Amino acid sequence: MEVLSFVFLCGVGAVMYLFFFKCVDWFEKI
Amino acid sequence: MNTEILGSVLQIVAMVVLAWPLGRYIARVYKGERTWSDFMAPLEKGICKICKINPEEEMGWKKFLFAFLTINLFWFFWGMVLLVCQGWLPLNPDNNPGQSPDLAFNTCISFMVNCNLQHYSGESGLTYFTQLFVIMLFQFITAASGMAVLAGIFKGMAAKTTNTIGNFWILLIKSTTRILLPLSLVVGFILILQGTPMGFEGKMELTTLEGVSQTVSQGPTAAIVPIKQLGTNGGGYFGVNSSHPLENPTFLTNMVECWSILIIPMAMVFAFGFYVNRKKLSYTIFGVMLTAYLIGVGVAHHYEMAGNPRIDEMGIAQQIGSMEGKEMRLGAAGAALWSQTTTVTSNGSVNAMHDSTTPFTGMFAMLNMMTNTWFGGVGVGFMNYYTFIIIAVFISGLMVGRTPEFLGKKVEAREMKIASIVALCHPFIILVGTAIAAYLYAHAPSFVESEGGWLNNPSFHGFSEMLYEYTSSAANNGSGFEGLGDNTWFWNFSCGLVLILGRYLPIIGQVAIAGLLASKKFIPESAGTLKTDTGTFAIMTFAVIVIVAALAFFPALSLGPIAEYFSL
Repeated sequence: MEVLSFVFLCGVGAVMYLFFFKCVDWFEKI
Repeated sequence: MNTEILGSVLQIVAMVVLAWPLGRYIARVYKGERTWSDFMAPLEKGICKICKINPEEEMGWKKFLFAFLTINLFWFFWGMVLLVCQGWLPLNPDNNPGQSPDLAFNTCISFMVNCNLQHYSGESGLTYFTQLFVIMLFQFITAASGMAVLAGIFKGMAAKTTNTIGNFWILLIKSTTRILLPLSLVVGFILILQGTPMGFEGKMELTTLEGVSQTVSQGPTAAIVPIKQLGTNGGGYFGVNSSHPLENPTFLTNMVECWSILIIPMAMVFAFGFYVNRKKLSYTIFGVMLTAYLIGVGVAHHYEMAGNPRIDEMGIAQQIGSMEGKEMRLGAAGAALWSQTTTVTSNGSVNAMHDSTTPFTGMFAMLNMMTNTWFGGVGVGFMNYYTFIIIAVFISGLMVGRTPEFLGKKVEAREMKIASIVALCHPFIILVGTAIAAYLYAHAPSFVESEGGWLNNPSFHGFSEMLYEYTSSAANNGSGFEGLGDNTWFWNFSCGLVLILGRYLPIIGQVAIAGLLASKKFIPESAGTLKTDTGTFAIMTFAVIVIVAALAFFPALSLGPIAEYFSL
């Protein structure tokens, strides 16, 4: 359970950063 | 009592007086001019060589942001792994265990975004290894990141027309080696002289005056506390932060630490004036920020020194102020000044429990974080103000029929859209987070109970505790109304999301605005240009901040500290 939780939370962090990378492109075209 | 007020006045004067030369120095560092710290150049070259950084490379705003985000993504994984595995790593004489994944998620993001919200106690939640290689490391590099990003924005504003805003890596390195490191050494030296411990031994055993045996945590405290304050981080080495006698031993260390919290954010405003050669504009911005800060300081001093009427009714003397949750050696005024100084910056350290402050002091602490523009965190505070300047320029231009321009660049729809997203993101994440927590507390009692119950205080104050937690997270401040039981899955996860959104979305937006404006054609000032370095425009910006940033929170504040004030 602890391992699953760790992997899930690392995944959430990574998705958040992907979102921020997308925001950089989005703000250029907004 | 007058001596206490005199102490606060002297601290503020010392901040303002020394911020000016520091600001001039910071501008020279970022401009690449000669300074006394040029002896650091070989070290910086060495770092560039090892990391394969080309110091001559100039970055466009997108590449600049990609560099910033990429290194932050790396630090996220670095922190997560080390915090979870700390129990197996060296420098752990007290055998502290690894953090649970949800606590590591919260702690890692919190320190990575320069917030330092702590859902654990420093003595038992971390080891010396993670104190140094996660906490202290992040305290240096996140502060330096914020300063580096602002330096990039300075460059964009100073140039007439450019597609580049500097090299993120070089600005990051210089912020660390030439600003944060020297100042940290000076402050650390003073702390050691005053009794703050510096070593790697485990808990100290001693016998108290009553003859009872007691263990006292120690460790490399004097190395961590200076950057904790100078970098507007705030994460306490000990659980009770700067109210701990080893973290903040004397009134002198209290003054030095309080000075350290605000000196760089203040200096960055002057640095802007020196860098872009607009000193008058920087003075007007400084005036607005200082006025807002002093209003909070005045209110906090008045209410904390007047005492708590409820305790007065119990027949307990209040001549020295409202002393619940405060240190006798620091006094009511020392705590009042600290609470306002830490919340106008994004510094989460406390030398008294904010949960015990009188309602209006607590409200102003929250308001400071809700506006998040009065000096603010190192680098990012000025950037938040920059967002409101863009909005104020646009609104003023529409009001008086002049072209909305800032520093010779036309502010158009795209910049306004980004500025609006950035300005509205802050209240959105705070209020939505608080609303969800309040809803769950009222309508899902079994879930809340399974998490330990959350609130130690019912009613208005309990609501304030939840509102404060999300406000502190979004503003990347890190302090808390500690009546909230927050080391639970829900709080660790939800605050983690608010923390990360509250840091990166505004930075991306602000750099985008600066980069987009920098690439536009420069328009020389004319009779039709809206003057931005006047008192009128300063008042206009202040009004925009109050209307957009502060009034959005009025209904929530009415349910919390305002209602509590009228119930006393």
